[in-house]
Amino acid sequence: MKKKAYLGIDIGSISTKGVIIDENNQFLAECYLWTEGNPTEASKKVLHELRIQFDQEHYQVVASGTTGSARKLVGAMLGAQVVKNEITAHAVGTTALHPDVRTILEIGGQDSKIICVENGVAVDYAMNTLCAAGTGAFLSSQAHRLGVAVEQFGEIALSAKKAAPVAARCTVFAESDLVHKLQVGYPKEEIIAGLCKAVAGNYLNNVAKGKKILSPVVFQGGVSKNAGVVKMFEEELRMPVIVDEKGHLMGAFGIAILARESRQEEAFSFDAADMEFKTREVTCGKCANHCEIICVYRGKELIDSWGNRCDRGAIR
Amino acid sequence: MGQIHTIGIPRGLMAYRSGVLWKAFFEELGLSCVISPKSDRQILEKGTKRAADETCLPFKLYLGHVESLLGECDAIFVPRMGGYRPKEKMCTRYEALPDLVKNIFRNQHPNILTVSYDWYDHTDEAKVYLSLGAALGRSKSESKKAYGAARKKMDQWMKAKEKKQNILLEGDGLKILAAGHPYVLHDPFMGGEISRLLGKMGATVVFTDYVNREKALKRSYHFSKVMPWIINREMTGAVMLLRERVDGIVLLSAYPCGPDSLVNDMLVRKVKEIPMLSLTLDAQSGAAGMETRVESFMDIIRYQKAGGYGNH
Repeated sequence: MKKKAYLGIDIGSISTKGVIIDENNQFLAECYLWTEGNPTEASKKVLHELRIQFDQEHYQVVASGTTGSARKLVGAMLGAQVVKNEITAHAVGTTALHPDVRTILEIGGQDSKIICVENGVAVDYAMNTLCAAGTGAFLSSQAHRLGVAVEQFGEIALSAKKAAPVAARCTVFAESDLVHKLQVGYPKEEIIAGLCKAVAGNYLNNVAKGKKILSPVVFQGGVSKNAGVVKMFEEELRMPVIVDEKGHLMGAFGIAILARESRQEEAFSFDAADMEFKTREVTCGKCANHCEIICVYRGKELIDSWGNRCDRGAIR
Repeated sequence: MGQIHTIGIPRGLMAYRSGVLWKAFFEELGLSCVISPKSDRQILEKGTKRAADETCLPFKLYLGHVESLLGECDAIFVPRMGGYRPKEKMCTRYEALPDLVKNIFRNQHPNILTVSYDWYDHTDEAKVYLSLGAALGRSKSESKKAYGAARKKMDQWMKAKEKKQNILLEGDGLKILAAGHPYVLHDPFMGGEISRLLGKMGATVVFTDYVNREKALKRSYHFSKVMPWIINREMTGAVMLLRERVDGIVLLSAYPCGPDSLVNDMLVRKVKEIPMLSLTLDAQSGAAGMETRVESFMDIIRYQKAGGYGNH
């Protein structure tokens, strides 16, 4: 008989992550790629990639889960057993690998969050509001301006003797400040170090405002791959900051665990990777609220809909 | 002021706190009342067009409600409220309300019925209603009688809400206290949407404004001796009174609110023993996009009660 496996997909604004795990939280397949504004296509690509890596002879996926900003849409596509927010998914995944973790810092492409953990369960969280300054998208745009690949940012930042002061409270101000610093002759590496410092400082002053940051600290999300930002966090917090090799997959990992814990099992088929999915937005005209209802179709069949505030707007 | 038969009451701001009293008073005087419909997207859009960009979401909605009453009544009731005591004042928005409305709708010339009270006038509620009655051409005794009856109705309404909420608090299940200004908590476009989400996720929602006002006000002085706003006092007092009887607290604020920005931050820092979520609703999206935050919060409470995720 085949052994049981569990699939988790985390669809973020910038990247889409997928993992398959076994009963003992061991990774059987993993994938990380850009969402490129198309969560449906990105998820199908992730499924393709996972199918290639996955040992279908010995394992069968029996439950799946989705998390991240497009979790509902992709959850409907896959017929996922669990569709859950990214805070819980990250907390579940991280505490599975680091049972003693107290603080999870996460900086992704467009959002950032902090999760406080006590006795292996999240007790508090915060997310950035309104503005994406200090996230991955911000670093990418500044890298572009400096003519440096964002992947090299960490290394360059570590080579700097000191960090140039950069005003990074707001992306618009940061841009003009950066130009100014370049023109008055700051070396590039100091400016890059300054940007990394600003990202860490900005995070601690905004997202983590008023939260007690206790050790062990685990840092995740795309920006955690930037060694410059890691170093700045360690300096600001005066404590070690753990970056897991699999840190970027924690949301997908967590939701795969939750899919297993749901105890709802159904043989999963990778066929969804080859199917045509379409979404359509309908404006409900039954009252003055004009709810925007999202309808998801597989081929011509309506498989799910949401967005209505009341039953009058229910489509199925 | 010409003959007034019907009075329009915009369903916004303090109508959510004192509307029952207003309506009963007017009806006791033999007038009929038209209340604007519940907030919806159209009302918000109307109000947003009228309002200066930087005013708060509830005020924008209020203007939408005023607009929907144009031509529907003989006068629109827009009181000017300053509060009765220096430490129990109202936000400046209420002190300017009739002037703002008159000015914003100056081309429509609505008939605005108003009454004014302020802590430096050393007045009380009974006197305020006498002057409101006088503005409608009623005698002192008529107004006094109407106020007495209206006050009674208001107290009964309030008692019924308290009683109903107490039953919910005694019941089983996960209880979430929604804390905020009454017009944020109960407006369908603001707190109403959050309550709906919480309910959908299986929570019983109770509210800070369905707590005995005198008791809450008194209790708020333990929280702060100097805080100058009555609504924030009633809200914080109710939080103090109920915090041990609920499983979590959601602080709801509408952007931008000066008093809330100060008080809610203080609450988050002072009230440590219970899960607390602070949500700010804005005019762009209202309560949309709140699902992730509310769901995460509910998960935190549920998994804590369950003692962990069971993931290792």
